[in-house]
Amino acid sequence: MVNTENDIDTSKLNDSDKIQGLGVSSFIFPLIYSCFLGMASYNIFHTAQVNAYISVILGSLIGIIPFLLVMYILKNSGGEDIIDLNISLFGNVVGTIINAILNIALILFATLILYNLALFLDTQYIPDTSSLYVKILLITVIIYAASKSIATISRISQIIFIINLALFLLSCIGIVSEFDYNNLLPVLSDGIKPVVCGGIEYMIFGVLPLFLLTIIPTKLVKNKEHIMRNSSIMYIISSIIIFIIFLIITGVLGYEVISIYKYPEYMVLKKFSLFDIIERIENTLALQNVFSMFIFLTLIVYICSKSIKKVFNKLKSQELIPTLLGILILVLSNYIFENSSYATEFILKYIPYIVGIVLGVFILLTSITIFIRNLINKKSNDLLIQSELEKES
Amino acid sequence: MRYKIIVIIMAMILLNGLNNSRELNDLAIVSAIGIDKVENGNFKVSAIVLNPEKQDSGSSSSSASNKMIVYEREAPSVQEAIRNMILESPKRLYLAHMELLLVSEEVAKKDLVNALDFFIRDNEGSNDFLFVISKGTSPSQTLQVKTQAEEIPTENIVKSIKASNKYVGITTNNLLDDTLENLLEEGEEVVMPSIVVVKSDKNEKDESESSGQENSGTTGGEQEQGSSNSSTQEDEKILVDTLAYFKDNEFKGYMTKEESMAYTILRNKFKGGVIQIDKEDRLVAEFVQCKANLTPKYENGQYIMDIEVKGICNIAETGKKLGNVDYKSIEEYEKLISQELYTYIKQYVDKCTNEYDSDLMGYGKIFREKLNKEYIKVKDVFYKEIFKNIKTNINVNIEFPNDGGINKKW
Repeated sequence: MVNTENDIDTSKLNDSDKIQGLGVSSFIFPLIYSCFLGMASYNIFHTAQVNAYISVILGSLIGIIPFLLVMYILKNSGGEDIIDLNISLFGNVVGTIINAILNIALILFATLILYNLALFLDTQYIPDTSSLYVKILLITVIIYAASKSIATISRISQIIFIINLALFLLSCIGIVSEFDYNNLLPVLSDGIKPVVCGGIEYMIFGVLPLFLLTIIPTKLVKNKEHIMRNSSIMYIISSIIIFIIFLIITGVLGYEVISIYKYPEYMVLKKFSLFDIIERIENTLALQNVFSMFIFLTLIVYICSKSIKKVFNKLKSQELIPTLLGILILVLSNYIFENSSYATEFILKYIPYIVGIVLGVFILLTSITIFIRNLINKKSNDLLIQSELEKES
Repeated sequence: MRYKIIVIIMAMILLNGLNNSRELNDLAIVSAIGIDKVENGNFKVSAIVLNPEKQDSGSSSSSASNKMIVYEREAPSVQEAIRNMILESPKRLYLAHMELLLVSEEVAKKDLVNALDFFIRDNEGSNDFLFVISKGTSPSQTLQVKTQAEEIPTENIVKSIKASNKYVGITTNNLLDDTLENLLEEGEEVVMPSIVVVKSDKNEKDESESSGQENSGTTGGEQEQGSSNSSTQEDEKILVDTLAYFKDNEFKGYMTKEESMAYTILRNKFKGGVIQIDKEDRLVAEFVQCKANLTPKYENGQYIMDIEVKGICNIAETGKKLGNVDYKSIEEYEKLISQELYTYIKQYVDKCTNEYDSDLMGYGKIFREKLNKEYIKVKDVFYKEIFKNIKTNINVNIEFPNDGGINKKW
């Protein structure tokens, strides 16, 4: 039988096997940012138009609720990851069914992300290269990363967070000179409704994916008492970064130009110029999006493979299930949409609802069940204490 | 270890730029493209391609004109014309380093958006090229004019426009995105810099002839710039002209020098320039800084635009009658220059609203952005009923912070 991380006696673990430092919180920025390229930003700009940057502020505030729910799940998971937690909360049969539904939803989500990433690379980066070729290369790395432990993935995430932060700061320095605050006006010209809708879209695409954090078994986290504090700080930092990204896109390009591009965050990078010496490095700077998507996809493959291993626990190979999942996502991404116009329409019209409902339901279902379990446990503990006191008296 | 080596070797083979990798030698680097319309409605596209082999030859005797090749093709679409150039060029045209897009008046009048469509969609090309109109001549002719200052005409045109913007203040550095913004934005009109080809005078022609530059002949389908059969091009030179203005995305005409200066000042694109008064005596002021602030207002049913212009100037030149600069005279000079600039702006605004009937000040945009509630009420009739009746209050305040450190004793 293969030992999963939950079966391991944590007292015997080395420091290298544990998730250290900003391990948990470093996942937050990639998870929030992973759905933006060609999906969230396209939707938010389409809905809130010139006031998309206000939607980000509003979305970050609305997003505090699901973020706190995710933190609540992490805190009360009893050190288990979401797969084991579902089984312990709902029982073996129902828990496995819920895990299966979660897996299907996540695989479809991963398929969409991979399709979107390949489309971006296909249209902007390397149009002469077959997107299948790019997908195979990308999925190979994802399979390799997903076959490692969560501690290893968290270390990758930490490195990627630092690289992303450096690329973000460099982008800001190189683009800020093109900023025109007049492009941010008029404020709320179409009323508050589009901005609120944009904020909800931000919450759906940006904050709900934080549910994937629940795959981290908190017993593997060193200094787990700081998870809430570090994650909250990282949530605020991530929200500020995304607000700045939207502010700069709007201020530099203006809504009219933004509206004609599917990837405005990439087009704005074309304006990068550092002291008139370093220019045309948009492809390097846009890697921050690719890295975020990579972490997101890796986590999804990791969650699904862990869930499947739980069912087929006699499998010895660590790489087999991630490889099969990777191939499945790869194949699905080739057939999911007939063409990119259909994908754009689908992303605009249906994806916010699908993602919002699926991830929202999982977050709510898990947190409410934990809450009820805690309530029952508390009551039974109270009764136990009361009966003991009565006995003593 | 063997596994790692195999992975590294595989990565080196597989990740080597994938199918998009291109050798520099295989690229025909385009520095400028000109688009014209011909009689049958086709686009006539000209492209200046840099000729690196000739540039690398290092021979001082090699003509500067050999460093570029001009290709020309006609087709119903810009894309087709550019692709067809491959029929005569041994390399594929690479637009990522394009610096200039030159369009004819004909294209600007009828087909500006269609001509731009290819460049908006092209993901490989740059979008930071200057967008310029060729005044009076076709882009194809303009791109083949031999220039003395720079070896490649593109560099000459681009640098001249940038310098004119910086030191003369009668033109703008409009890039693709700026033009797109003006095309798409409600309450904005397109304005483009223009260049004109003029005949050189005799002395300049003699100088150019005596410079002893050799010309090479035309080979195959390609025309090398400055070729022996294009002697007329040696008699010509390219000058930066005033701004071209549009209405509803159609080219209408050219502004005067003063109007062009007023435009750049009001759009805060003014980086430097000179203003001269020749009333009683000569006073030349050089701008160090100039900022305009346009504030829309709505009072008693009247739409008002307050224009506040603040600038700092240096005295560049004074005439015979003007004495030394002291604390008394400096105020007078400030008033004179302020009054002169006021006249420029006033005439420009009046002409835009009455004669050009084009919102070159961007009033619509400013009202939409800063006074949105009032703008929405009259959005549909803004240009029919409101635009011409907007009351404009202009206040110009030019300062001379220093006397220049010269005691005039002549």
